[in-house]
Amino acid sequence: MARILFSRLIFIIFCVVYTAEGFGQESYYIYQKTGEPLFSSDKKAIRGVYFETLDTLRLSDDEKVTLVNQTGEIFALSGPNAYVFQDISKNKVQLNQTSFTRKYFTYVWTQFTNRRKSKQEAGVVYREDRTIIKHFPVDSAKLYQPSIFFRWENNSEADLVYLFLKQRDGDHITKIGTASDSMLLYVDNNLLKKGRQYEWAISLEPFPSLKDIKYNTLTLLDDETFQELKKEMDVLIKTFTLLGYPEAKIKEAICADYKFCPY
Amino acid sequence: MDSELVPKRSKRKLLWRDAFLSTLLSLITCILLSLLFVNLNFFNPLKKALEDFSFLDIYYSEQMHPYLEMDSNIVLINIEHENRETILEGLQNVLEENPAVIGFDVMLQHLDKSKTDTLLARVLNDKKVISSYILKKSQFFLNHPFFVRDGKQGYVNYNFGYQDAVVREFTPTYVFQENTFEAFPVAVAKSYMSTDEWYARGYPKKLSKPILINYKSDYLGFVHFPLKDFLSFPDKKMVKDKIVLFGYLGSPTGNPFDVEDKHFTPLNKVTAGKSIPDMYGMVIHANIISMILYNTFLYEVPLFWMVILTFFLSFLASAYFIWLDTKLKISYRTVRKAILFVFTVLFVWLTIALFKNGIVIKSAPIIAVTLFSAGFVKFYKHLVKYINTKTVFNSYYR
Repeated sequence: MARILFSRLIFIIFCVVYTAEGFGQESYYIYQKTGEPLFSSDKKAIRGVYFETLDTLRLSDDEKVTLVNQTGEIFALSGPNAYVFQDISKNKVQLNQTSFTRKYFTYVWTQFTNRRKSKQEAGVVYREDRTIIKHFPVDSAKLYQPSIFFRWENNSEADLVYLFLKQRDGDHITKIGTASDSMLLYVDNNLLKKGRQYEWAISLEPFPSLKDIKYNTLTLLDDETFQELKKEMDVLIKTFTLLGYPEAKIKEAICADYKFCPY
Repeated sequence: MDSELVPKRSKRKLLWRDAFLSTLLSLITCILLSLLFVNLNFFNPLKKALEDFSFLDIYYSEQMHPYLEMDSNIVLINIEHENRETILEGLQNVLEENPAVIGFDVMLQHLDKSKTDTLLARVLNDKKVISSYILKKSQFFLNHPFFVRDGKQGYVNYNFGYQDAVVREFTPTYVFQENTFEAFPVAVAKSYMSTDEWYARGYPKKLSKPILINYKSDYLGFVHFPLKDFLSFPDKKMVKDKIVLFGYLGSPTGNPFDVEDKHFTPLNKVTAGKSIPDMYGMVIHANIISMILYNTFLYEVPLFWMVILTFFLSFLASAYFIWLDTKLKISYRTVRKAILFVFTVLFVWLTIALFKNGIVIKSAPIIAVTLFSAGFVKFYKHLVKYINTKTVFNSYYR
């Protein structure tokens, strides 16, 4: 009898300790993110989402995630890498604590030697290069079509332009020269494939600096994501139709504001 | 040996006496000049430019303060230009997560007579919500009476002096017609803390007079979300047991060119001259709340001790430069300027080091008066010479 009671007592103590440890465990939520990071369960790693103990966060090349715990400590994770819950605490952001005296005398020295950069004001607004204007797909567009009709406007004297297309997380770049201002490409599971992200750009140069040309991002939605987004947008379309707006205008606005352009 | 010591001693006495007289005369001149500054319109632009200046500002503007962890006890929610329905949804969502207290730094002066307003009025009078009002020239600018019932409130004025000045201090309580009113951040912090702790820290007395604000950070030092983002979070438990402030942080959040509800603070990158305001009102409230919660008040050295310190430094400077004037004939001016420069740099360093440890000494007037006294030595020398043409006046200069 005593043995049974003792083993139960041990079991209860174990449960209490384990649960207490569970409660005492840190919780982290996503405070900032760059890119479209995903957890292994395909759960999107967006702002405000908690990093659960069994989650694995996959980050590709340019993706970054900043997490905050309950006491305000900041943790930064960057790709390419995969992180489990236990990895977070190892990535605490070290705050820059340069000596105050050093900062003060550096400040005095810069003032004394007049090394501070002069402030130059310029009354001007900036406009990007308008020689080539990319019309469709708009930047960050989400599409769900069997073919994509790329359209642009060529305001230069040159007849021949070059379309550059690359998969976002790949190295290969497809280059197509054309004398027109549009091109129809099919989602053929080869050049374009559902569920992937691409970048496209138009250049007047056949060999431009690939880092400097401005790409538009383009996402080809898979069936599931499309259905989810469509449901949300259908509600919007219905609401605005009831308010008397024409459907074509609503779809145009959804494409411009939500970048959802499958129609 | 003794016969040599006696004149040395009496010479030293003369030096201290001359230093004392020179300091006294320089201080009287200084006071007379400062009165001119106050009264002459011609000097107004100069006065205006100098009255907001503090050497301590470079502590913040040059980021000499230590980088602290984010204050996760205070969550800022930026309402941007969201409509009342969205604000209501935000308040309801936060209340569902059981926060410690909600501070609503938003004025609702008109009534739409809508269902949203009815629900807003109910939420704003929740025991966990503290609303805001403005106290101006003994007048109250409240939310529309429909929203004001028996809920808690706090005034959002920082001080009752200059409106365009840098916000360095705030008035925690204000007595008007024998009633004591509490500032918004005080009301929020009081709701968050236990009554025992509030009294144990002696806050009722401590918060009865204007207090310097110990700034922790701009909005980046606090957990903050745009309202729309917050509403989209699948899990909102990060606000549980926290102080949640609803207010404006620019559109989009932190927009440096958006100046609505933005004020000048010591954190401004420009310490003197023209600049744009740098901190949103809600962030100033958050800094004050943080200061009250963590008891990180600054100790301001009283005026009496400031005067004593100024006199002492001026006296030492006068004695030293009278002595130096008799030793150096050609290089005196150069050496004096170099020494005064080193003194200024080191004294500012000392005051900033003290400020870092929570002690505030306003260095600008002390430095100005000390430099003035050091320069006054030459006038004193000429004065002594002039008096000696009329009568015998024993001096170190003779």
